[in-house]
This record gives sequence, structure tokens and C-alpha cells, in this order.
Amino acid sequence: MATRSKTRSIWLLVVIYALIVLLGVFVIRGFDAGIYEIRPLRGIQQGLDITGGVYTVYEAADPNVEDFEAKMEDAQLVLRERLDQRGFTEATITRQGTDRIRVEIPINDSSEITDPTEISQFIGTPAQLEFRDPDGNVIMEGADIERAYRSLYNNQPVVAFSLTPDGTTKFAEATQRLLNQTIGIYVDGQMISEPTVNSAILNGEGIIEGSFTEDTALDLALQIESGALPLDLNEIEVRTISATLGVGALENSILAGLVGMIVLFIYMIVIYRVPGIAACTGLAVYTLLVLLCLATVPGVQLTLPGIAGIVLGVGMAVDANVIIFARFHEEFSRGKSLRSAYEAGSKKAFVTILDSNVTTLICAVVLAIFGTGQIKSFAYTLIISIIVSMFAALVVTNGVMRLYISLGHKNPNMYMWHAKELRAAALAARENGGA
Amino acid sequence: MFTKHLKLTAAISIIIIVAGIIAGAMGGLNPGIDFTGGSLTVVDMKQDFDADYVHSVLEDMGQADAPVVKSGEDMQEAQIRMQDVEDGEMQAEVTEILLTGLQSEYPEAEIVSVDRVGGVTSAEMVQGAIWAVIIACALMLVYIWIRFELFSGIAAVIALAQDVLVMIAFVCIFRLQINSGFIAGCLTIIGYSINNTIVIFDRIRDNQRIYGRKKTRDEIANLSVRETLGRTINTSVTTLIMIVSLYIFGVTSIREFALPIIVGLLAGTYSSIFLSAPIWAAMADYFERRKKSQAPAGSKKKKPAKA
Repeated sequence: MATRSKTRSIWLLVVIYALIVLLGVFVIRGFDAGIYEIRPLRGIQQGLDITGGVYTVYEAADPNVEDFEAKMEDAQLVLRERLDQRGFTEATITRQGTDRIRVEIPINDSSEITDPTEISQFIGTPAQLEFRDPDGNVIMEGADIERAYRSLYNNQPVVAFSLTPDGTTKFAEATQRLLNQTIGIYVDGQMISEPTVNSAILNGEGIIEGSFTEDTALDLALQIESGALPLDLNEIEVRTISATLGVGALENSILAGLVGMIVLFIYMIVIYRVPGIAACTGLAVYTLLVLLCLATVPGVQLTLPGIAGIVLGVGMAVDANVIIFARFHEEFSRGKSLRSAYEAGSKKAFVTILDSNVTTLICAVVLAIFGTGQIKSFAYTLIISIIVSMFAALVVTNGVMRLYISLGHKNPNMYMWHAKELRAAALAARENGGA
Repeated sequence: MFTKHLKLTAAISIIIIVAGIIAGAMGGLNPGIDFTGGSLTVVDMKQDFDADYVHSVLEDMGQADAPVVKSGEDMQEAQIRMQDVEDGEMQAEVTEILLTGLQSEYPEAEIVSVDRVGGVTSAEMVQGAIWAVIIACALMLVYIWIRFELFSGIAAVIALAQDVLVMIAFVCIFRLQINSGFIAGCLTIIGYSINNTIVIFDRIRDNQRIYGRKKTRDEIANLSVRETLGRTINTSVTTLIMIVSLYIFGVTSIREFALPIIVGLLAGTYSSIFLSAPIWAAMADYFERRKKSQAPAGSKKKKPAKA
């Protein structure tokens, strides 16, 4: 029996390592499947700081409007909101001179949208929404809308909305007053539809029809929700810029990551011996999976703070292993066999790992929800890292470690320092206690 | 062992933080161009150029931190963000010095425009970050309260605040520039610190189950810190390995950001060994004593005498 389970373990280990190598080749080199070319690493969207992008300068059409300063500030906030909605959390917005706003967006070879005009039009459109009665009086505005989203009506893309309590009252009054008349819906002064009021709308829900495509309906919904730009902006310049971190930052960071990992591997193996090897296996899987997630999870970009998130994740992935091994060591010194010491140790460690990761996860999720810009993207990377690191430690390292133990190597010193002495001490203690 | 010296260990971090506050008040708080804004100078080099050379010119001008990016269709334009010089009239001179410096390598270089730019990181963003951190702390406190006990949560948040404050003190004392990367660094340390502390409280929870009231809180705290010491050190070393190698191999801006994280990691290790568990024990004991002395004599509450 023992030899059979040993053979099984050896085979499983071979299969696992083969799978990891395959995963590595898949993630790093990609592969060609017929006409499809899959290159996960190329899918990683890189931030402004690492690969550069484009910048757009907007100029206020009329700098002599009232409250110009406040309106420029508001405009910057609206731009931020729109960029975040589109997943460009890494974009930067700065005031340039007095009447210009400069937006730097990480649109480069690595991003999904490669046409800068598409995005600059989206963010730079005022999106002033107005509902007017037949006499041209404004009934309500975009600010009265609480939520706007893309929907389908008669199989046509439309923008559906729900109103704020204030807006609901206004809309209810107007629809009662204008029964069987028309209400004009205007975006930036242009009428996009003119529905007839068939019945009073009291619940504050409605739709805007128009000749929308799915994309334009979504854009308008997002624009309405982020609020109208408080002033008209003209785009005066769109150009590309190189990486803000300077050339070579990414290469250097990758080199740093590799060197760090190698030193880390050596450290783990020296300190923990066979369990160290299992931990390294988990770490390798962690690194590959994080890269894969960065490439596939939408809205995640690799940036300098993101790199910090990944490094922290490596720390936490190792930490989970260290906790398990520490418990393993303790249980073993109580005189248990390698196998039962490991089982008991990893069971006890599980609660610890769960609590510490959940707490960090709470922090990351809050940052993702309430943070803006760079903080958001840092939080996304951190969330990915935490989840993947738990998987790596609890599934991969744990699984591989069990297999190593079931190889049934006689010498416990393979699994920790001074294991023989510990075992002897435990036995002695037991005999003394029994005597 | 650890709880006995709480006064000393707490004093050490308080001294560092106070020193940081003093240094900060004396002008050590040095927000970089990401916050303050400055001038954006666009120079057309009329040929391909080496951004490192531009950097060296800027370094001679005392603007070593100024980011340089290439732009334009052929990437022949340099866009340089510089921090404001103290005196507004000096601006023209600065531009002149920059141009002369650049022309010695690229003779055709000419200034396209000089514009004032605001900070990339707005006050709203920093405010947002601070609010997010406060909310996060509150939620973590609640989670720890549920899973452990209230005092553990409070001690964990104190330890976390200590770590971040020491980091801030460090940049103030050494007058390092604070840019948006620093915020990310602080957030990293928050995540790391909480993770570190929880592991110790988890051990305390375990030991309380094993020993119940047979041991005082001080004893349990000491035992738990000692039992987890190996793990604390190993985890710190492994994370340090990664971040130190980023520091060694990284470009300047990565270094600027790795250094405070290294400090934060060390502070985090310190607080999880010397502060969090002792603070928990001291606080829980203090409030228990107060409750007891407040409760009328002969109270029906049964509290086993402490060993």
C-alpha cells in the first residue's frame, strides 16, 4: 500500500510541476492556436507611468463666465468621474495655465481602446441634459437624475433613468400639466427626441429614446450620471507622451522582481527545507496567476503602485506558508508524526490565514470603492493579489506539501531543522509525563 | 518580556513621530510636484534625444525630481515638469539656464512653451484617500471586534497608525519629496501592518482558549508574541527581500517609493512585536480594573480572581 501511494504521489507531483511549467509557458510566451494568437502578457494594460499614453488639452470656451474658478474645479471632478467610469483610473488631470485642463490618459499599444479621440470626445462632451416643455421652458435637468443606465425598449437601445426625489416631483407635475403634449429632450442644446406624454409619470422613472447604438446609449448614460460639465471645453491638443517613470522602469522592475524571487526561493528553501520547496511552488503559481489576472480582469492596469500591490501580495503569499509551517513545527515538536503534525498545523493555520486576509481584503475593497484614480487601481491589484495568494497558499502549497510528505521519506530532518532532536525530546517528554 | 517594556517601546515610537512632526513643522514636509504643481516647459529638440541627458541637466539645476517625458509625433519634444522656484521672477532665468544646458548637447533645441500647471494629485484625491482609510479602519475594527475582541481592534488600529506615522515622520526628517507614489506606499503598509497584527491576536485568542484565566493577559501576550516571533521575522524578511531588490534595481522614482515602504515594513514589524499585543493587554486590564472598582462591592458578577 505504502509504495502504491508513494508512486501515486510521485506521479501527481510530476503532473503538477508539468502543469505549472505549461502555465508558465502559456502566460509568458503565449501560444498560437490556429488563427488565434493568445499572448496573455501583452494583454496587461500598462499605465502612464510605465508605457506612456496621450495627453489632451481642453480649453474653456469662455473664461469670462461667472464663478469661473469654481466651474473649472468642478469640470476637473467631472472629468475624473468619467475617466474612472471608463476604467482609466490611472489618468491624470491637471490645470494648465488659467483656462486649460490637461488630461493624460494611458492609451498606448497595450490598451483596448487605441483611438484617443474616442475617449477624449467621451470625456470632453458637456452632456447637458434638459427636458423642455413645448414653450421651451426647462422642466428639469441632468442634475435631477439620480441614476442613468443603458436599457432596451422595443429592442432599441435607450437610456433609462430614475430621478431624485426633487426631480420626481418636478417630472410628475410637468407630465400632469403636459398630458397629451410633447416634452423635448435636449442634449447639449440639440433635441434628440420629443415623446408625447401619454400619462402622468409619478414614480420618477423614465427612458430617453433616440437614435442610439448600444455604445452611444451607454456613453450618454455614463455622462449623465457623472453630471454635466459645468462649462464648454474645446479640445485644443492631442498628442502622445512617453512613460513618466522614464525609460526602462518596467524592465528594471521585472529584473528586481526576478532577483527578489530567486533570493526569496533560496531563503525559503534554506530555512524550511522541503516545505520551502512547496512554498516556492505556490509562489511560482501565485506570480503566474497574478500576471494572468492583470491581463484578463478589465479595468486593471499595471502601474508603479500596482507593482507595490503585487509585492505586498508576494509577502502575504509567503506569510500564509510561513504560518502553516510554524504550526507544523509546533505540532511536530509535540511528538506527532510528520503527516498528522502537518494536517493539524495547516488546519489551525487556516483560521489565522483567513482572518488576516479578510481584514486586509476589507481594507482593499473600501479603497476600491471610495478611492479615486491611482488609489482605485492600487486597490484592484491588491484585491487580486490577496485572493490569488490565498489560493496559492491554501491549495497549491498545501497540496504539494501533502504529496511531499506522503513520499514517506524516512528522515524528518528533510522537513525542518533539528527534527530528530525535536522528536527525541517529544518522546522523552511523553515518557516522563507517563512515568 | 514584551509587555514589561511597553512604556519604553511606546516612547520610542512617540519620539520618532514627534521628531517627524517637528521636522514637518520646520519645513521638512516636502510635497512634490504631484501635489504642488509647477511649470510645464516644452522644449523642441529638433532631433531624437536622450531623456537621461535632460535629467542630468535638471539635476545640475537642483531639479533632480522633475519628470521628463517625450512627446510629439517623432518623440522629439521634451515635456518637463519643474517645481516652482521661490521667486516668480526667477522663472524666466530658470528656463534660460535649462535651454543653455540642453543646447550644449542639442544645439537646435528651442522652448516651445512654458505654462503653469496644477498638481496631478488634487486635494480632493488626498482627502478621498484619507476618508477611505478612515472608513477602512472602522470596518476592520468592527471585523476584529467580531472575530476577536474590541481591545484587539483598537490595538490593531493604533499599531497601524503608528506604522504610517513613522513612515511620514521618516520622509519629514530626511526631507524626502512626497509624490503620489508615497500615498500608495502608505496604503501598502496599512495592508501589511494589519495582516501582521492579526496573526498575533489570533495566537492570543488561541492561548486564551488553552489557558483561560490561568494566565494573566500580560503572560498570554508575551507567550503569544514569543510563539509567533519566528513567523513575524521570517515574513518581514521575505517581504523585505522583495522590496529591497526593487530598491536596488529600480529607477529613481521606484526607489523614491520603495524606501518609505522599507521603513514602513520595519515599523510594522516593530509595532507587531512590541506594541500591538502589549497595548491590548494593558488596555484590557485597565478597563477591567476600572469596571471592577466602579462596580459596587458585593456585585453579583462573578469574576474569577486573577492568578
